[in-house]
Amino acid sequence: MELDPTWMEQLERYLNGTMTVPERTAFEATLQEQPALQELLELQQQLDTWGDETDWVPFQGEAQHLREQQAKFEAEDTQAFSEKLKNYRRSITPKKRNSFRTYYWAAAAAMAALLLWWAYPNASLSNQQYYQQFRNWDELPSLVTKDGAQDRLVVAMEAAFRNSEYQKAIDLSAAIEPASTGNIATLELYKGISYMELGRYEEARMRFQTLTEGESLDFHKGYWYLALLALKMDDTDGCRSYLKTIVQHPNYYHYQEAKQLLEDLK
Amino acid sequence: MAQHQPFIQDFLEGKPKVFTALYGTIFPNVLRYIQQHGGDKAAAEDVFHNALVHLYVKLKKDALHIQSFENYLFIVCRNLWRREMSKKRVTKLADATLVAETMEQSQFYIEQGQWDLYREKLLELSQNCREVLHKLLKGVSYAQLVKQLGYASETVARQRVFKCKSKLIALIKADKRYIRLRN
Repeated sequence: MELDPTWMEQLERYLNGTMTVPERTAFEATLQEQPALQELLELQQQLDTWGDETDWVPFQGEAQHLREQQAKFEAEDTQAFSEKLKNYRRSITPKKRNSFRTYYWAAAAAMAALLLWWAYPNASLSNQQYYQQFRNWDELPSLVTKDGAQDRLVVAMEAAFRNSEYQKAIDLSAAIEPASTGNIATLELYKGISYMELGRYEEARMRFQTLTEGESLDFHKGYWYLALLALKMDDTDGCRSYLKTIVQHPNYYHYQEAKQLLEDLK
Repeated sequence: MAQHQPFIQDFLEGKPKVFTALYGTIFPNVLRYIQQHGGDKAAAEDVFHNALVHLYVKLKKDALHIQSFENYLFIVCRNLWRREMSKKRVTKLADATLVAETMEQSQFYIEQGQWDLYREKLLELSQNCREVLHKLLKGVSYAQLVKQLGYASETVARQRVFKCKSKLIALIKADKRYIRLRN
């Protein structure tokens, strides 16, 4: 599209605030009628923002552009690269988790394991310990919200989950329209993990199993959580079976962790 | 740091030795920048991670050719943080929205692409135009422009700015990579 010199001049004066009131009113009416002029105004404002070290122009354009790019980030190889990077970060990070909450849970897990061993000498303690070791819900991505009540619900659900209020998270999730989160697979994981933490194993299993059988790009995450569920249920053979599925596919979620756990469970 | 093809290839394959090099040489600069602009180490680590994934997609999917891997990585980190800070300023808590990781990354990917285009087209302008726009964007007034660049009057300075901006916009709009950031 050719730039209209008259428009450019008017835009400059409009942005400089040098138009008279009638000129400004007339120009704003023209802006409403001329999408191309509106686009020029945006571009002018973008130039000013880009030159400002402290500001940024967010994308609010065509959804099609977004979908095209999102496919690149959701591709298996990109996710695998991200996982490798996370694994590298973990490998260079000291093992300490220095928050009070982490110590609290570690102590509680150790105490629970001790009590379990005392009450049921034949129970497999190591499975529970491994579950605590690999149980890391911080790695779950956040869910999408847009404006409106629906999204506040998602925010509240995630907040409940992060506060370990799993029953509340499940109750809230029942009212969420999955498509509104923008990531149905992740929402299913939130629900499945909540059920798992509450000891409602069959409902948890159904969530994870459905994920592995679905068409989501994150389907393979289901195997990892099925393996954790089996650990929590003291089903060592079941856990091994899911881990074996993961280690056959280097691009699957937590491939390295699965290899390590499988080795430990031998 | 080596910028040659084997380095890029090792990066795309996610080899730990490349990550070690990047975390050892570039991350400290990113950390310093973010700490100086209101962030902490955890934020810097997240930004660095997202920037590396961003670069992976750029190099692998869009075959981006960059002259300096480390310079571009730092620019992406800086822009990610600018975006983060800008978002915090304009988002009211009650309306706060959580966006899935890949959607955030995709939005930024588009924004960074348009920013790259702006920088590229800026370099196609004359030296004088670049200087005028640079000063203006840094907050130099028209009166100061007259003094610093020897224009006859503020009107002349305004005309020059107008011509330079018009040229820049025309160059950006004529490029097939240009997309509107707003509907």
